[in-house]
Amino acid sequence: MSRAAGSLRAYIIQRLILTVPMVFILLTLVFYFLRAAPGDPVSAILGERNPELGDLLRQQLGLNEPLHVQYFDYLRRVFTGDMGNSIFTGRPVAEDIGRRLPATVELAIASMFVAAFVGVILGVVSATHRDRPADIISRLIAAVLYNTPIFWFGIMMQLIFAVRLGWFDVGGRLDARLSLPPSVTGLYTVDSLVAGDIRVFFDAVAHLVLPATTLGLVLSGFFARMVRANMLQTLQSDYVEAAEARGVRPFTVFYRHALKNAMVPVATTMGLTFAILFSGAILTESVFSWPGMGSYVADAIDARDYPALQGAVVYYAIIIVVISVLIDIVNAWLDPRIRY
Amino acid sequence: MWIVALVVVIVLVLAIVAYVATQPTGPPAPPTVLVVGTTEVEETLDPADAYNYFSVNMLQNTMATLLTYSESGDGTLAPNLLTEVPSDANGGITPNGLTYTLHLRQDAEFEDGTPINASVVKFSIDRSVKAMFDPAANQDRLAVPSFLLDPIEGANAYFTAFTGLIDDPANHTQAEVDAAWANYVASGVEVVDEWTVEIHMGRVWSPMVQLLAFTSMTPVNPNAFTQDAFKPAATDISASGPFRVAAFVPGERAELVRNPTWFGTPAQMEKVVIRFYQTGSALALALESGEIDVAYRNLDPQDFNRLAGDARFRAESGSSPVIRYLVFKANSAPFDDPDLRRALAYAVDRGPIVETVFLNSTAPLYSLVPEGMFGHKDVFLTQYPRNVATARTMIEAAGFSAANPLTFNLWYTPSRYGTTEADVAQLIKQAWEETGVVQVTLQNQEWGTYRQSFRQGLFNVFLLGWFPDYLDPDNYVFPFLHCGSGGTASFGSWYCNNPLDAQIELQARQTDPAQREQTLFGIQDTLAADVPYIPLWQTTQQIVYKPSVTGIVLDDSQLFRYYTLKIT
Repeated sequence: MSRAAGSLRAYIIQRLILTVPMVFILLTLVFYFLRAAPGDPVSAILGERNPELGDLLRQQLGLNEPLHVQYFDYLRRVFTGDMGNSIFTGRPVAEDIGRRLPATVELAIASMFVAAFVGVILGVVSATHRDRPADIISRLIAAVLYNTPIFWFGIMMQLIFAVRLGWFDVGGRLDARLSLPPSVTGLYTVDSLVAGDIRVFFDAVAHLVLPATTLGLVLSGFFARMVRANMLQTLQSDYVEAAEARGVRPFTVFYRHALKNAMVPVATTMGLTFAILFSGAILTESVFSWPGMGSYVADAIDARDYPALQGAVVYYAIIIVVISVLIDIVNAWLDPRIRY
Repeated sequence: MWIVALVVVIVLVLAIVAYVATQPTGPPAPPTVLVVGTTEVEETLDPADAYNYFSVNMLQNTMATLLTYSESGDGTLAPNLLTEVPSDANGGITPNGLTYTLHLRQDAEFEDGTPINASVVKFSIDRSVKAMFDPAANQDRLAVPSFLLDPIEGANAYFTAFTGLIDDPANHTQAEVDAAWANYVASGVEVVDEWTVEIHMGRVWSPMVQLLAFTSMTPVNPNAFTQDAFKPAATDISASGPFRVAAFVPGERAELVRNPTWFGTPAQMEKVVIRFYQTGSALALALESGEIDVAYRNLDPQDFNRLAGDARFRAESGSSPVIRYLVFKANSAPFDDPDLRRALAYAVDRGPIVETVFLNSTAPLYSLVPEGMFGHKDVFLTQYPRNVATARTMIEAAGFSAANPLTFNLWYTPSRYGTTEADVAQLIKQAWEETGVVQVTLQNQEWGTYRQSFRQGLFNVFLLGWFPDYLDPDNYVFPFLHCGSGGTASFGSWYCNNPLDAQIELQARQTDPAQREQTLFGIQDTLAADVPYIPLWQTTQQIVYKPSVTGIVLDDSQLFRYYTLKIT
């Protein structure tokens, strides 16, 4: 086993061990912040009526217990894998998250694909044509994309491509007239292929196009700026000059040497962005009626649904940790000099 | 690298060829699926627990209620599982108003063939009562609507025993609760014979007959529901109505398919899919793009008007019992002074709200009991015709002036009631400030915080809305104005008028319509005299659909019937 592989493995183990206190701190903060915020789930359920039920409901929900009792009960539940029932939907939180997660995963992957593809191309074009028209145009496009309000952009996409041209549906994951594929993974694109239903597969992909493009393009503006900045810095490195002096072809210098090194910080940012996308893109989900984690969490906040929010935080913590570790592995692959 | 790219291209080409090959050819077949879009959200399909609009509406289309509303659209009750609407005239209600006799039709059954007989009805009503207060019945949540069953004999005593145990466990025992429950089971709902049930009331309560049409009394299949658990999966509710639930994906879609065991007229469509949208604008765009056939609840006013003028669609408005109003915190300064509340009632201007904000899609409201409902009286129209000068005089009499204006915050919540709320608040502010002696600051909070704030008494004046559960004037006076029950406190008003409490209790006991109407008129006169609330407007139901859709019925009941819809 090489020394590099050994150090990476030790690092990953260390990171996984550190996950426990990290999740613990997160859970604690969320638990206390939620209860410090005005509003509570009892008034969310009862609305304006029947106040005499309030105390009883608090009793049943355990909300009249001392805070520390609630807290330890909550921790006990989490560490035994029981995230409780959502106060609002009444269903187990794990079940709710399990239903919402596939939609978020599909959207996150598709958006990230668009963002990385467009962002890297714009950034590279910009960096390799520094201060020339291609650079200016690329930077302009990136700046416009980066500063575009996603809510407005999404509605424009709907108006043009769904309403005016009729190419896509306005929202949702699948044409309502098509039957849902038998659930295997919850990802309609995968489940339709498993079921051999190519029509549903294409429809599921078509439903991803508008939300993924909207979200991906907005994110690509940021990635383009990062790629350009890192690429320019890398192109000024001694080893690039040395390679050019030795007569290495510019294409090889740019794409084999400079781009790969420039991608190390970009990959880190992309990875973290990817992790954030896994927690749901509230505005995009809202515009495209995409039933993912973002809208679930937004509804849970509105309803002060403590178990749902706390469950979502556990899930986020796990996602962030897993993706952070993956980023480190990718970085080690991109730059063999990196040691942990 | 190039090999990978080549493989990707080949796979894509093959996929496109396969897609094209699977596309249907020839003339289009008649549609077998009708798609309805909505921004409503589901919570539960358990009749004992359902309390939001969409959950109740889904149940009304999948479970047979005891009574229903006439399809004529006038909001009158009609038999459904019962063979007749109980009344004094047909002997369904005893002269003392304390016993309701329910005669069941004998051909109704659930999906699995279980007959809906008297035992099933008793099981279901008992379950709704028990579910309310028994922790074992629901691990994490109480059934909210069950409190409506409180007037049934023994139910109140059971609730009281249970509350006593919770609040004061040192002086109450589980045995008391068990005894109260046993007493309720023995005395509340009685199986007379296989097809006859008697409901014994603990007190006379006129709205009971309306409650027979509400979903909390809907029979459920004992093979699918137990007394110890709530909420089977939506697809497992064992339908007894026109549709059964074939698929349910929260936040995405509900698929209803025709229920072959339904005793009534079969649903017009084999399948209706309900698509959920998160915004009114997305709902409107979905209709325009052809993604849905019907857009029902809740289009923004400007979208409704735009689509109503579009030749590709048809639009309809129907009456609705949903009301909007202002609340005054009546037990603290400055609005503990009734004259100030009266003055602001004179100054408020409903016209611009209805015309400018809602583009005439709502109607001004002059009482808490909505227009068109039994007992309604336009008390604010006669008592407070808009008069800025009078308002100014009254406010000045209370010690305020242009130099020393009456200053307060007007609170609203920006999304709970749609996107129009800020505009409404702005118009109310303008109308009041026209007096020259009032200075209003607009404030808002998101709904989660808002409802907590007004119940804690943090708002002096604020906007609120009411979605009724049963269609009876009692539902518009008791929760709003009855102080002893804590109703006014839960509305953030804290208005108390003990003689009025007695009148409200009286109207609920009165079985003679003429006498009850007079009592209701008196209650509304007191409302107008004291002004703890200012009624503002009454909403309408709005729907836009493709011309190929037929069978739409909009009426006061808010029972949206998916089973009468058809697309050709």
